[in-house]
Amino acid sequence: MYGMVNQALESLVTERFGADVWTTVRQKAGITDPAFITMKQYPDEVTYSLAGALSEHLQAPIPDLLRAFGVYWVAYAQRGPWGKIMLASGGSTYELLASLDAMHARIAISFPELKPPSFKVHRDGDAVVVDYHSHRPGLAPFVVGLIEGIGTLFGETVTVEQIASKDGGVPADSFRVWAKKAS
Amino acid sequence: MRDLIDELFPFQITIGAAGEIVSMGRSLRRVLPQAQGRPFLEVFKGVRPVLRSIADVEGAIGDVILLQVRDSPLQMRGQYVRTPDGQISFVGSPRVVGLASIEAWPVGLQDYAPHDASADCAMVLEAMSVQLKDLETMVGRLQYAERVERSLRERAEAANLAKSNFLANISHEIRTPMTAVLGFAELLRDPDLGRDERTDAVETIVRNGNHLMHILNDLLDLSKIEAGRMDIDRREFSLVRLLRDVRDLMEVNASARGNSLALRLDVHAAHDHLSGDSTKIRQVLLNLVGNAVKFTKGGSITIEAATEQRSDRVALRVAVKDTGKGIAPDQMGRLFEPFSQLDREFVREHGGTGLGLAISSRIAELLGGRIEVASTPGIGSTFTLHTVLDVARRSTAAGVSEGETSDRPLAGVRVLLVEDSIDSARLLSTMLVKAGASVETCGDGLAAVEAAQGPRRPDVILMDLQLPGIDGIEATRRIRAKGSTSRIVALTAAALGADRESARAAGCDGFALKPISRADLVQACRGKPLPGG
Ligand code: HEM
Repeated sequence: MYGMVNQALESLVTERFGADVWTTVRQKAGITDPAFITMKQYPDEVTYSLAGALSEHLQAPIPDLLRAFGVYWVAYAQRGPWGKIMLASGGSTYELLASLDAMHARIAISFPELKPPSFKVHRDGDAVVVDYHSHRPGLAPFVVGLIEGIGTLFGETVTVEQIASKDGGVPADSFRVWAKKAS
Repeated sequence: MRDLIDELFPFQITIGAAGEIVSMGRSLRRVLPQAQGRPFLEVFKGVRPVLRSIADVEGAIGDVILLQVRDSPLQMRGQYVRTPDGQISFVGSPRVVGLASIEAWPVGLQDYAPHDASADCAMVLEAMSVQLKDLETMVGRLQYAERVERSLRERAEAANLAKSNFLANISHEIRTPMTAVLGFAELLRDPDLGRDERTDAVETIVRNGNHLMHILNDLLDLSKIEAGRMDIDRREFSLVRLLRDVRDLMEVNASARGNSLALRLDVHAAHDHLSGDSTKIRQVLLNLVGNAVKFTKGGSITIEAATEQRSDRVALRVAVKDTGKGIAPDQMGRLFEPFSQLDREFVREHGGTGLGLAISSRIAELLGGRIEVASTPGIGSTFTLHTVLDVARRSTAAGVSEGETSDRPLAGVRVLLVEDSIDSARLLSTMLVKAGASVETCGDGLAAVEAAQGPRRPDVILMDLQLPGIDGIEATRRIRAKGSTSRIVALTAAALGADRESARAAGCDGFALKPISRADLVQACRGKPLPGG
C-alpha cells in the first residue's frame, strides 16, 4: 500500500502512545527507512507487519487496532491534501459511502498504482448495505472503523453490523449501516 | 448546441462586436451572475497579454491567454478563438496553482469540465508539495540521526581517551610501589646484607605491598561504581556514634602531624537515629578527614555536622575543614577525577592512591548527595558531604557497629574452613583461633559437603571458591541442598562481580575478598556486612 497508509499508522501511534512506542514497533517490524514516502508504493507486508508488531507490543488484538485505525484514518485523511476531495464527494455518511469508488478513482491521479477497494452500496429500508470488495485479506474491522469515522466526520451516529464475511465463502464482506444525525 | 458548449466549456466567454459579454459558460455564470451584457474589459483584465482595447483581444487570437476577474484573485488560462458567426470566444478554465488555490477561489472541482485536466493538474501540483514535505521530513530525520550518531561517537571517543589516560595513570601508580617491592626483594637475596638493612628492606616491601593492595581495592571500588554494581545498603545507625568513630579513628593520624581534630555537632536529638548506608558515609568521611590530615601540618581540622528536617527526611551536611595548604582555583575542576593528585611528591610521602576523592564523590552521588569544595590557597579547604537520609523507625539505634572490644569475638563459634592453599588455610585458621573460634579445615569441595553435615555442625563455613574437584559454588549448592543452615561466607581472591552474584545465587550469605584482615574476617563470620560493600 502507499506510504500514506503507513504514515497514518505512524501518526496514530506517536499521537496515542508516544514516539518511543513507534520506534519499538518499527524496529520489531524490521523497518529501517527513517520515514515513509506518501506516494511510494510499499509492499502490503509492511503495513501488515507494522500492525502485527503493534498488536504484540500493546498486547491488543489486531482487529481492535484496525478498527481504531479506521476511525483515525478518516480524520487523518481529512487533514491531509486530499481531505477536500473526500468532503466534496458527499455531504453525509450515506453519500460518501456511495461515492467511495469515484473518490478513490480521483485520488488515483496522485496514486497511479492504487489498488483501491470497491464499495457497492444499496439502500435497505432506513439503512444501507455496503459490500466491501478487496483483494486484501483481514481488513473488515478496518472498514468498520472507517465507516464509524465517516459518521464522526458528518456528526452522525453510526451503527455498523457485519452481515456477511469473506471467511464464510461469499465474494465480499457486507455491512449494514445505520446513520442518524446526532441531535 | 448551446448546452453542449455549456457542458464542455463551463468557463467560456463570448464577446460581441461592441466588446460586450454576449454569453458565459455555466460555471462563470455562477461565479459572475451579473456580468452578462457588460463590457468584457470592465469585468476582466488581461494579465498576459495586457489588454487596452478590444482590438488587443483580436490580436491575441491563438496565443496563451491569462485573464483575471477584476477585484478577485480568480485567474483563467486559455485561448481566444473566432467562432463561425464572427464573434470572439475565450475558452479555458481557472488556472490552478494547487488544491489550496481552488479552495481560495470561488470555484470548486465540480465547476471544471470532466475532460479538463486542470483539476488533475491541481492534484499533481498538490502531490508535488506532498513530496516536498516528505523530503523535508526525511532529511530532518536523517540529520537528527546523524547528530545522534555523531554525539555518540564523540562520547565514545572521549570515553576512550579517558580510559587510555586512566590506564596510563594506573600503570604509573602501580609501577612505582612495584619497583620498590622488586628492588628490595632483590636486595634480600644478598646473603651479606646486614640485619638492619634486612629489616628495613622487609618493611619497605610490606609498606609498598600494602600500598599496592590499597590501590587495587580503590580500583575495584571505582570500577564497581562505574559498572553500576555498587549497592546501597539501608541500615539503622546512630549518626553521632558514626561521627565520633570517624574522629576517634583519625585522631592518632591527626596528632602525629601536629594537628588538632575537633568534632562539632549540630544534630537534633531526633536526627541521631537514622536509616541509610552508614558504611558508605563512613568511608567518605574517613577519606575526607584523611585528606585533611595529609594536607595539613601543625594546624587544625574540624568536622562539623548539621542536620535539618526536609519534609519527612533528614538532610545531613558534614563539613571537614582544615587549615592546610589549600587548593589553587585552576586545580579545583579536576579534583574529583581519578589520579588528579595535585601534588604527587607530597602524596607519595603520605600515601593515598589518587582515587579517594573520585570514589568519595561517586559514592556521595550514589547516596543521592554530593561533595562540595571550597578552598583558599594558604588558608585551608572545606569539603562538605551533603546527603539525605531517613529517620529510623525505632528510636533505639540498632545494628550500630561499634569497634569490637572483645579480644575473642568469635568465642565458641564453630568454623569450617574450606581452603586448598595450605598457606592461606594456616593464616586464616590462626586468625580465627586467635579470635576464639574452633576451626576445622578441609581442602576440597567434596570433603566440605561431608563435613558440613558432620556431628560438629559448623556455625560458619568459610568457602574458598577456587577449589580442586567441585568448586566452592557447587559445594555451597550441595551443602544448601542438604538443608544446612550454617552461615556460608565465600572467599575469593578474584574480585569479579560475577563471582559474587553466583556465590549469592548458590546460597552464600556473605562474601569476602582475600587477603582479608582479622577484623574483616571476624565481621564476615559474625554476619556483619563488610565495609565497602
Ligand atoms: C482522502 C481520503 C482518502 C484517501 C487519500 C485514501 C487513500 C487510500 C490509499 C492510498 C489506499 C491504499 C491502497 C493502495 O495503496 O493500493 C487506500 C486503501 C483503502 N481505502 Fe482509502 N482513502 C481515502 C478515504 C477512504 C475512505 C473514507 C474509506 C472508507 C471506507 C476508504 C477505504 C479504504 C480501504 C478499506 C482501503 C484498504 C485497501 C483494500 O481494502 O484493499 N478510504 N485508500
